[in-house]
Amino acid sequence: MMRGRLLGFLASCLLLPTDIALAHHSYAMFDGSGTSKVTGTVAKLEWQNPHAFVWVYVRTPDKTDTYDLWAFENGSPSVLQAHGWNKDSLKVGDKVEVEYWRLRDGSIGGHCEKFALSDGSTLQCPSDLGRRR
Amino acid sequence: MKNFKSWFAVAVAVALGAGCDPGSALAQSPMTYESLKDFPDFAGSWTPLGPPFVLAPATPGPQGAAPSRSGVCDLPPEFKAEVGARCRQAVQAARPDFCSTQPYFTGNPPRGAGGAFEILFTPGRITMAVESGLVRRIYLRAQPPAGALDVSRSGTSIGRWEGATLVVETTGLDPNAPVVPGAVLGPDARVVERIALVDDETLRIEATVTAPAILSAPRSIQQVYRRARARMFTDFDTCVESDRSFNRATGQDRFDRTPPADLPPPPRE
Repeated sequence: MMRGRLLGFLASCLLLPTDIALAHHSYAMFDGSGTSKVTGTVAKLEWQNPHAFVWVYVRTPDKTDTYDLWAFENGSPSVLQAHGWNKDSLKVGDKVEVEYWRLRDGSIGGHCEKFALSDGSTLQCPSDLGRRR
Repeated sequence: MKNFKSWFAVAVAVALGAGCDPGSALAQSPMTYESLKDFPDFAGSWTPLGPPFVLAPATPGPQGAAPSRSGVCDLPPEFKAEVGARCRQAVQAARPDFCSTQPYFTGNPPRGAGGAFEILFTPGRITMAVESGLVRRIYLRAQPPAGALDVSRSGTSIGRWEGATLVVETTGLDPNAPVVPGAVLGPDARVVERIALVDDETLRIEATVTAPAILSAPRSIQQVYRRARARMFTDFDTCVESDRSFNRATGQDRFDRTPPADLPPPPRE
């Protein structure tokens, strides 16, 4: 299966089948059947290639004084900027509701779909995972 | 004497720059620093438009397994049938090192992550710098410059203006450049690109690829870009960047949850 993913990546780079994958990994790690939501506090927007990552502190379920650190994969900075993001779009301490695609292995985090900030604004993550349903 | 020196310097420059090379920029191109204002404004960073991540449909796998991608060898109709067959055989037989086969192939307009680029004008040459690492030199002249390689992954690109459209013809493409699994580009391939503004903030590249060894007819591709004048250009290469999503050592997807070292403490609430 991994071989297929690599070959898929290759074909995406090479001559022309424009309808084949452009991402550099398969996204098979994410459950594309539907999104979930979680609320937390931004710990960091890791503004890096090939994927930006957003780190969010989320209160541990059933506990009042501990937090879990969630990680959300996002697009590349170049793609994000085309969608209105910049490296200051999310700041440390921002309260956010994250809509995301779960990781299939059940660990906390995933691929973000959208961030809703406390001022009512939203940031859309570039992903077409939903169209795969 | 001073005038003679000046005259001699000009003569040498002309001889080196043009007279000894009839296809040179000086001889062929009206493009000078003074004339740049007369050409279309291609300044800024151009970012591919369209879905940034277009995934082939997932193929249902065994119960409980993650879906794999299909479509690797489902090639467009211009591809010869045997190319698809070789592709399927290769998929069954081999696992390529994707970094070693990264193409620098100009028939594929920059797309997706890392597909942003800049276009830089200098007299006699246009340079296209693509964020994923490719730097293309497009010579505004009648023929390739002396010393151009016979073949290379990106070939040799010669440009001309047709009105406000930059037309680029690329030859000298390496016939051994990989195209799809199991197939290389083959001899006598060439690419013609037409690069033009659609409006003030939109650029279109139309590329037509002729590759008789693998295509039964020329194949055309079109990609549109949005301008971001103030955007910071950030080169990157998935083969050298730290990648939380893919482990090249194992060839496995991953989700690296190692926290950054500089995270603040959790909120106190």
